[in-house]
Amino acid sequence: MKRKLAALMTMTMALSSMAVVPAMADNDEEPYVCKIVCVGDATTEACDAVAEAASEILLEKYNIEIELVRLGYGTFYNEVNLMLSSGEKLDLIPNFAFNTMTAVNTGQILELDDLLDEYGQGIKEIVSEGEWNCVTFDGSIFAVPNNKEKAQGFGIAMRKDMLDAVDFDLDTIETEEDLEALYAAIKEEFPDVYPLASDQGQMGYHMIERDDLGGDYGVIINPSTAEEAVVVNYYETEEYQEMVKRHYDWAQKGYILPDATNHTEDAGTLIGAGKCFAYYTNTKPGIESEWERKTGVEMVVKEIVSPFQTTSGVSNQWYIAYQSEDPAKAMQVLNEIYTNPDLSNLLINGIEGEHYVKNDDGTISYPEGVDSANTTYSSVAWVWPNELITTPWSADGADVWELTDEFNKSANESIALGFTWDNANVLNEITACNNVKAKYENALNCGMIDPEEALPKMIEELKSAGLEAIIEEKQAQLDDWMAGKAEE
Amino acid sequence: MKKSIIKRIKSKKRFFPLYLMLLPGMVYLFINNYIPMGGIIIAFKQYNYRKGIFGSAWNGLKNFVFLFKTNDAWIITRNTLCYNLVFIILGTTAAIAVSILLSEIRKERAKKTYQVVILLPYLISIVVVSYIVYGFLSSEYGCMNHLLPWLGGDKVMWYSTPTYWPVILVIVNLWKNIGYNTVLYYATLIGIDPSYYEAAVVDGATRWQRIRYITIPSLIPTISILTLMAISKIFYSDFGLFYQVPMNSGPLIDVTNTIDTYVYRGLMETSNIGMSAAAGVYQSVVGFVLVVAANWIVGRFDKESTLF
Amino acid sequence: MVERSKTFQIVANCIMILLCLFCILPLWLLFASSITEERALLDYGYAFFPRVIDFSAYHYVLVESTQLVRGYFLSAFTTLVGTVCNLTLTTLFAYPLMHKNLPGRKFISFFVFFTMLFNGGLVPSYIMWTQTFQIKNTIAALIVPNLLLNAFNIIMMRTYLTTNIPEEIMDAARIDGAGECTILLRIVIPMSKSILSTLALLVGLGYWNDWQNGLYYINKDYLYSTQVLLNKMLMDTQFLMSSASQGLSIDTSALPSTGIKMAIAVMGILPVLVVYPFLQKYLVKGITIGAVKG
Repeated sequence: MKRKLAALMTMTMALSSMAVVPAMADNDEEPYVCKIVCVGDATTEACDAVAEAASEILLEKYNIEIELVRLGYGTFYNEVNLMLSSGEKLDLIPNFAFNTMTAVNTGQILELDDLLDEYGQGIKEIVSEGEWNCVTFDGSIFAVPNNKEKAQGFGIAMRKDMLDAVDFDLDTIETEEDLEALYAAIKEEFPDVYPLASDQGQMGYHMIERDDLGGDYGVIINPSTAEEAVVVNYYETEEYQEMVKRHYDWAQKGYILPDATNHTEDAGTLIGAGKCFAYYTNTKPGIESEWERKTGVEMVVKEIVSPFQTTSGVSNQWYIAYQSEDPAKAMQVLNEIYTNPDLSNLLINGIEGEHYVKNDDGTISYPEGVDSANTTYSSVAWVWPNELITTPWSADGADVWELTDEFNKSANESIALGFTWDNANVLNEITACNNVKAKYENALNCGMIDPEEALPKMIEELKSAGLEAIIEEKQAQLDDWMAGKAEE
Repeated sequence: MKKSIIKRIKSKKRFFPLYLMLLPGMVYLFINNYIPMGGIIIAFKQYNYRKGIFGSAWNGLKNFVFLFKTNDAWIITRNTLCYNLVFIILGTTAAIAVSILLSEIRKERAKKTYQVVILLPYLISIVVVSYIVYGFLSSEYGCMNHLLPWLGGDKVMWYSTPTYWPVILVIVNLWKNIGYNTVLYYATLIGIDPSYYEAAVVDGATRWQRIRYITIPSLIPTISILTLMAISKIFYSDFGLFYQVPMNSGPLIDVTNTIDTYVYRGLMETSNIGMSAAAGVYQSVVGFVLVVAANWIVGRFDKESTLF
Repeated sequence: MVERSKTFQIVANCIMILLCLFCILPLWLLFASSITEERALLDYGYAFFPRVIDFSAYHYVLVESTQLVRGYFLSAFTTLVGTVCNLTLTTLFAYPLMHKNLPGRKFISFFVFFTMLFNGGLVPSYIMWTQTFQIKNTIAALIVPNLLLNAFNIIMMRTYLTTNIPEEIMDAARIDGAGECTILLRIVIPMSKSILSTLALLVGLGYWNDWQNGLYYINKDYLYSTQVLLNKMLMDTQFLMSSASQGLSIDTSALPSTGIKMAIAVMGILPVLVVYPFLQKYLVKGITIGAVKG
């Protein structure tokens, strides 16, 4: 009897502790496992296969293995936040949805200066001095900017079939307001279609040229032509107020997907399914085919705000998480991704033959029977460190990266390009403002609530949450920075 | 003398296997419940991920001061308290009414069936409940928005109109828990000595008089204990009900934000762990005081019913 | 009098039937939506009476998509293992507590009870489980945190044991030379079948319906249980599309995504609905014991 009970208890103990795995002892021969967490849809199986192939490249050179996890756009921020709070294994992450300065101030990421000098020579050669300024906080570099288009314009991406059906002259479109006629025409031709989609419950692209100065409220409007760097409350600007009023009006007319904020589909899916006609987008070379990959139908992009360059325009970056057990190795991996086309290709596009096939003209495309919707490893090039060294997709054209280079050179510069700010003094105010923003912003942008009523309320609540303190702080820092720049 | 010592040792020894049995559970509770309690010190720190819980700098009560300076503290407290109060009052009243009705029904089989059916929603996970609510309220596909025009009304954008949500949440909560509460009171009802009723019938009491003078008075101890227990938990809310069911919709936050959802959002969506933890500590402390108070009150009426 | 009583019975039954409808109609809506043809859903919305009946959503859920079937097995497995472990731990804990003269009993009771009053919050637990115990992305993550033992069940079991098992029987056994383990296995457990069934039902329900552990501790798609899948789909429709179509050469725009959601939700509650009528009386008993002395 006793034996039985003892056995039972051992079993219970074993079960309750079955997950305790002894930590692997570190020794010289054991390869370092570098864990990369990135965004985009992919199956665990595909990620493991890509990681294995990547490990092959890195094992020889650095004795490093790769562990790769890709998380959905909707969950990336929450899950990575949890990983950061727990300090569990994590080496490299993109800044997707993270604010670099907040990450610096809360100690989520490591400073990289020494690591870059020692292991990141390849990166240093590619990234320009101006770009390093955009990721320098308090004298230290905290992120590696992605090598991709470095300016952004805004425009609208539309379904070609529907556009053709209404035969609309796109040259008449100069501002967002001009789109109303187009939406009306679409609505008339296709009564079931909502002309303007939302993207995972949000409408983040506004056809307004602005520099958000590194995030956290307070922007400069029309920064490339502004003569003075004046920080204003974006929500109080005429441009924003007009936009939300317009969107509300459009939503009433059925031009915007109803209940937009509760649609968790992304815009590509909604447009691809024929439920919506268009969505706003950033513009860059190859943007049309990027949309075609997202939607699976032919798309046309019309630029509305011409490209401009801001500090946040260097917005896609990579971090080394604070808990990396061996930051030097993590930097080696980052450097290798930045400079080794094979590795970048693998991480961005997946495995040849399975996720893409090579064409004769030096481009790639989907294999037979695979498309953007059912691939097990979705290709999201811009989020990875260096898309410019990878093989372009046939739809983008073989010369897309050269065009990107030209695009970067032609863009207008913001008056505050290179300015980064330090939000350490106003962190709690920012949290409080974020809580207010969460309540209103999406609904306002999507035209779901009446701005006549909601906007003043939001502004008032923002102010009582400390918005003015944030803007003052930002303006002060910006003035200092401008003064320093003038001296140079 | 000697004999009694031997006996005592023997009896001590007798307890040894009992302690052994307790051991795995004690260990589990210690790990799962006690160790994390140390984490409340985060509330008093300017949390820095790299420095960790212990390394981060202390910032005294700053997190609390800021929490109470914003509107949020008031809103989450108000929501948590008001919803719970409504749940308690409405839930109790409905459950008592239904259990009395149930006990008056003669057909045993019908009785049984009713009981089975009204307990069903209690078993459904809150995630599935969110799907059901979505089935009713989705602005495009929801059956409400297809029924309303048919009845001559206008479509409503349910997930962006805060006005309706207090009512919706109360209905959902009532739907989910009415069976559970009814079972509780019904159990007390069937325990009432039938001879009281027989005597009442002989005296010519009407049904209403019987309910008024026999049934309800016999329910009072149960009502008061359950209500006090509910009051002791009034600072806690069902996270799923307030987060999943409204689908975390921004415009609804004013009427759906409770302390639990605030703590969760602070943690997952704003990286400000310190303030989130401060809200958690606020909840624990006030909740603790309420439990002790409720227990003390229960103890004054009925020593047997106290929790500890 | 008889006449009035009859009217009363009719009225009472009518009210109860209405109440039952109130309880069951939402579930019917869920089911009806899951068997409605996709086009009809898009045109007429979720409705109580399907215009066109079509089971293709179930076809996707059960045949085409391996992920959902796998999630189902995973849920069943964790529920089974979790329930057995939980009952073992609870019984082992509650039994010693019924000995009134056990030294330290008061302290242990308080040790248990205190866990109901205070908790350290999500972050510290998460840090501990992932760092010290390394359970992230293991099946253990679906079983161990929070669900393995809870104070409420221990108190419920102890109350049941002290009120239902006479001390004399155990004393008699002790005089016959039986040890505590023998008493537990031979006398106490056979006499507490009904409380064990009750607990099994409550604990099993807890495991089957749990989505939070999966949300925090799992991000590998092959470890998603049914409720975790449901929750992911609620938050991220993209996830539904990709998980239902990955690796298959099907046209995703033809995927009945509106109906699939509801079909998976139905599948999620189906086992509960099937088992419940048989165990209903234990559940009722459990609720009653649990609440009166909780």
